[in-house]
Amino acid sequence: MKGIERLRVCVSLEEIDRPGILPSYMDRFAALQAGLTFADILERPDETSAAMRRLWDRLGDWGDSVYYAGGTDIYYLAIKHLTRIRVPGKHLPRDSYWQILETPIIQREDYDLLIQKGWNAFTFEMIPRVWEIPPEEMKSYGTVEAYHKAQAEKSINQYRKDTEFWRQMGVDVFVGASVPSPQMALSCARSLTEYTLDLYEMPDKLEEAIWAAVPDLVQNGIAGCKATGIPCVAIILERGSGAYYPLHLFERFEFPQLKRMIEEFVTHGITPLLHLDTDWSKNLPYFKEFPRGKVIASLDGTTNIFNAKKILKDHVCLMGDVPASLLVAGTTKEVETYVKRLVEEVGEGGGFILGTGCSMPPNAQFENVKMMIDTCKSYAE
Amino acid sequence: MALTIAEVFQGLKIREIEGLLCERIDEGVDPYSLIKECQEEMAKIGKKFERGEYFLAELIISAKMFETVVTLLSPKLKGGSREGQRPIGKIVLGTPRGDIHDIGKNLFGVLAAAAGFEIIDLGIDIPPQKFVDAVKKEPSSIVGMSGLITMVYPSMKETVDLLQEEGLRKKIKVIIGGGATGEEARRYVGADAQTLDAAEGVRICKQFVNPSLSGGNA
Repeated sequence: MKGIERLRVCVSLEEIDRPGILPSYMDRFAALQAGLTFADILERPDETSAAMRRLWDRLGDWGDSVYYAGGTDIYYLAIKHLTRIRVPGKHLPRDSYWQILETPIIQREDYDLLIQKGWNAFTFEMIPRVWEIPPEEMKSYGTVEAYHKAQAEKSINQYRKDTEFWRQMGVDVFVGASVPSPQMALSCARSLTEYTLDLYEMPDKLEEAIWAAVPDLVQNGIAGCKATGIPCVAIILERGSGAYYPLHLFERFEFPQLKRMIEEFVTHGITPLLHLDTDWSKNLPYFKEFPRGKVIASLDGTTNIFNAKKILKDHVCLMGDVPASLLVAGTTKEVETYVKRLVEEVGEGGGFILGTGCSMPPNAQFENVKMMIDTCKSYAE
Repeated sequence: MALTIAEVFQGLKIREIEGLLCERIDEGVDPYSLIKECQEEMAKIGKKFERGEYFLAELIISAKMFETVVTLLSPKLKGGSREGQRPIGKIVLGTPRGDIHDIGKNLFGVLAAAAGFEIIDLGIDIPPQKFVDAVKKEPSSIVGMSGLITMVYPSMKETVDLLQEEGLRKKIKVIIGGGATGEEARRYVGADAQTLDAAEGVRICKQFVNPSLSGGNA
C-alpha cells in the first residue's frame, strides 16, 4: 500500500505493515538543498516548488504524500496569526530565516471589536498593523480589501498549481488548509506575556473573544479545503499546552473551542491534523474526547510520544516526532535507532505516521533525512 | 490590611507589586532587603514549577513582577547597583546571530537574576565575537545562548570555538537552550549543558558555580 491511502489507514487506526511517512514543511530544506535562499522561497514560489520536486526524486520520494504542496506564503503567515514578521530580503539578509516578532499587535480594548465582528472582519481591520502594503501596490489596488482579495487569489492559485504538479507525478498532497486555534492566534496577536496576563486578569472577556473567533476559523478551514480540494486541515497549536498553562485554563480557553472545531471539521469530512508544538503530555487524556480514528496529533519531540501512545492508543493517530536537533546534528546511526524505536513502539498496532518534530529543519543533513525515511520504509512487507 | 510581599508574589498579584514596594520604601525599609525578600519568593515559585505545581504562565508573570522589582529598586541602591549583594555568578546571555527570538532568553535572564546571578544581557542576533568580547570585559563564569531555530547552531558553535581560540573556554561554562536545541545540538556546539526549560537552566547554572548542588543535566 502506498500514497495517501496508507495515511488514511493510519488515521483510521487500522493495523498496517509499516507506518505512513509524512515529513512536514519540506520547502525550506528543499530550497536550501537547491542553493536557494530564504528570500528566494518567499519571492520565487515556482522555483521553490520545483526544488521540492527535485528533492522528492533525489530522496527516492520522501513519504506517502506531500504535507504542503509548495513554499511558504509569508503574507498569510502574518495575517493568520496577526503577527509582524521580519522578512529576509526586506528586513533581514536574504539568507536569514523569517522570524516572528513577539510584540503586541492588538490591545485589550480590541477584544470588544473581535467579539462584535468575528475573527475575519476583525483580522481585516488589523491588516495594516501587521503588514506594510507597498505604496505602489496600494495605489494599484485602491483599498486594503482589494489588496487582500488579490493576495488570497494568488495564494490559492499557487497552491492549486503546485498540487497539480504533484498529481502529474502521481503524488498526493495531504494538507489542504491551515488555521490557528483561537488561543494560538490571540497569543501571537497579543504576545505571550500580555496574553498570559489577560488570562489571569480579564478571563471573562478573553473567553468571549476566543469563542467569537471560532466560527470564522472553522469556516476558513472548510473553505480552504474546498478551494484546494484536499480534505485535511492543520490546526496550529503551539501556545496552549500543559507546559504553558494549568489544566483549568486549558479546560476553559483551549479545549472546548478545539473540540468544537474538530467536530465541525469531521462533520464536513475533513481530517484535523493538530500541530502540537511544546509538551502536551498533561493534555493528552482530553484528546480521547475527539472522534475516534478521525484526528492526527502531530508531536514535536517535546511531548513524550511513547507515553502518548499508551494514552491515545486506539483513539488518535499520532504523528512525529524525529527531533530537529537529531536531524541537524545527530549521526545517521542515531537517526536510524530513533526511527526504529518509533516504528516498533509507537507504530505497534497502527495509528502512527512518521514525521518530523514540528517541521523539517532547513539545515537538516541530507543523509539523516534519507535515513529517517528509508528506515521506516524498510519495515514494509 | 496591606498585602505582604509573599502574598503578592505567591498570589501573582502583578498590579500590586509596584505600590507595595513604594509603600515599603516610604516606610524606610532597606531596598536591598526588599530585593532579597522578592528573590526568596521567586525561589519558592521556581520550586513550585519544578514540582509541577506551577506552569510557564506563573513563571512568566512572576518574572514580569521581578523585573518591576529590579527596575524600581536598583536605582535606590547605593551606587545605582545591587551593592552589598554579591552575585553568585555572572552570566553573559544572548540570542545568537541569525535569531531574534527572546522570550526564552528573557525569562531565563530574569529567573537567573532572581536566583542571584548578575546578567549581562547582550540582546538578540549576537555575533560570536560580541559574546567573546563581553566575556573578556566582564570575566564571567557562564555563557548562555538561547535560540528557537536550528539555523543558529553554527553561530553557537562558532562562539564556543572562538572562546577556545582565545584561551577562555576552560574558565567558562556554556549552556544552550531554546525550542530547537537538544543533546545532539549540545554536542555539536561543544556546550557543557542544554535545556528546554528556563528554570532548569538556572538550576544548572547554580551547579556550575557550586558543583556540590545536586540535580540537573549538566
